[in-house]
Amino acid sequence: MVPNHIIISLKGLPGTYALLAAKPEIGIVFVHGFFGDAHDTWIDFQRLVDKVKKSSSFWSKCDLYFYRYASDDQIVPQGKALISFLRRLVSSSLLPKSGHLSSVLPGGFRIESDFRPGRRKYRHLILVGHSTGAVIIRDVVLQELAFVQEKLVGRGKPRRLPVSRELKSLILDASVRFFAPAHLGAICSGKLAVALNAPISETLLLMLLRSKPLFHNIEQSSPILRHIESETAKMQKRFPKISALTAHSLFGSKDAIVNIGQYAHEPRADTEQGQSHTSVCKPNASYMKPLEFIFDAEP
Amino acid sequence: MPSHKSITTANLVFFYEERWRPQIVGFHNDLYHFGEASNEGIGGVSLLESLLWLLLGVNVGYFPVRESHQVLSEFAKVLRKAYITAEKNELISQFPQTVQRSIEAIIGRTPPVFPALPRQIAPNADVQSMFQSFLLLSNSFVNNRPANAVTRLLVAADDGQWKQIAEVLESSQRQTLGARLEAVAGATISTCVTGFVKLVEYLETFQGEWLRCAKFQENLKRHGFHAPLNWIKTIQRWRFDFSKESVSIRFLVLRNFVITTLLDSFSLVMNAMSEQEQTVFVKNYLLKNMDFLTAQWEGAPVDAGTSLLLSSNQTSFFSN
Repeated sequence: MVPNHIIISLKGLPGTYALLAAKPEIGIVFVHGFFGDAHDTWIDFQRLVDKVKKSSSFWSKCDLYFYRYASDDQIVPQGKALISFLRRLVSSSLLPKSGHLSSVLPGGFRIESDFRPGRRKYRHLILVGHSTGAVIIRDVVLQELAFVQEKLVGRGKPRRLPVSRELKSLILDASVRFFAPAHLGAICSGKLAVALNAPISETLLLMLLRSKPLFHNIEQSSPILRHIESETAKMQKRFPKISALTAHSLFGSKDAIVNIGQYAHEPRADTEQGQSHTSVCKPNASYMKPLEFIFDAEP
Repeated sequence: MPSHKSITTANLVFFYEERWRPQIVGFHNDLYHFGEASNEGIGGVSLLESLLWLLLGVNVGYFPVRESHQVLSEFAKVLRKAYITAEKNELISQFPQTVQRSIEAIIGRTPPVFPALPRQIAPNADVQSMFQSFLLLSNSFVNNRPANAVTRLLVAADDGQWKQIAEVLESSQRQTLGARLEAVAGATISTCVTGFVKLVEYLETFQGEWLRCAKFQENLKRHGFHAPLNWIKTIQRWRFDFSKESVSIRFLVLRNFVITTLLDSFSLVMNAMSEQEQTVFVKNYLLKNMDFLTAQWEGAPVDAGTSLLLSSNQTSFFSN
């Protein structure tokens, strides 16, 4: 069996990579959480998307982008970097527009695949976030909404409020899927003993998180977290048809890092028995839920 | 659907950009900019590990043969230099004899040629995707700056370099809680803490993948992949060789430092736990799990009085 996807690194974005389909219709962007990265947070996605039989027709029309960022910074600068990435993605400027996929060795030899990434026009986007990656996606959706509104009514001179159907943007029309989102904050007062059954790196991560500036962004009482929640709720009330304002969330029942739950207007978050904060987004032969969770996002 | 040839060549382009070129650049930097023999050595051995990934990838049909040979030919001189520096710094012996022989067989010829692995492997998509999972995981680890710094510290730093770091850790340990938390943000301490946590995370994720693959041992045997699966571990063993006394001691000093520092930064929560609960947490959970992870590699570290760097109430966590 030949895989349906070709792996490609993205110039100028170290650590970010993509799995490209031959005839893509949907772009899926994966955003990891605190201390994660584009490789190990989503390990096995890249392997299983070409293996699952049940949803193979879905995955074969999807390009998968595994976005990487340095997770020491706070939410707002991370959001700015991600929106710039997404805009390049939707304007088809992330990949070389013409020519084959290639690298030139110092002696001049060209390693060249006959695969041409070309212009990739998507009819739909799916944004997938893990932990703090989910909060960054929330921020990006609000940024995009403000940008599109401004474009429509002009900066500083709102003639009238736009209606949902006028707000055209692939990002705003995206489906949003979160694994263990930190949108309701990190657990601050729980005993570490809760973590006794969790993977050891998860517990170390929880302890490390407290020593980083990002932690103050995802404390329950953090102003940025409260702002994102209230703005999302306000905008969703005003523009109920903007799909990116309503996320679906999946948590592990053994999550010892974030508070489990969803925003008031969203469908009730699902919980997977036996999964932890980090394992909830890692599919395997006996745990296919992460793949199904994204597969269900196709409109 | 893309052709097999376009996929394998794309795999090589990706490997070249994400792994090979950064390793070549890293080796050159070590060689010409810093001029420290120990850095040269680790840059060399790390590049040779990448060569072994390339060899394995060719053998499982993940990389194309002709283009991979071209990469070898172009970098033959650098690879020989890497071998010499790794040998000079006694790092080449970190590879088992069979692996050393494979490296010598590749770079000993002009132009260099990949030897076949002991057993012919039938190209198989499952095997190739499994190989890709491990390769991506490894790429992410070797390209992680703090993890890389900690590996260098464990494996290649000379006694003088290690002493300097140990002094920084020790003086931080004597400070008040507030000053210590500030120190976590400092460059050396921060690198040690985040690099160490990344290392543990890698060992844990690798082990999870390893166990998952081992469940399909029969299937792997059918495709001849059980040997390459062992190889994937073997070629990385030089990073995690806890049978070496210096590596073992340094690992334990770092481990104890990281645990106590993170416990301090988590002190509000820890205060909600009784002393007995804290001891159970550290001994029965953190240390036990770390011991398990390191035991999966060559010689687990044995704690023989490395509980220096600890305040008196914390010493009990690490004593037997």
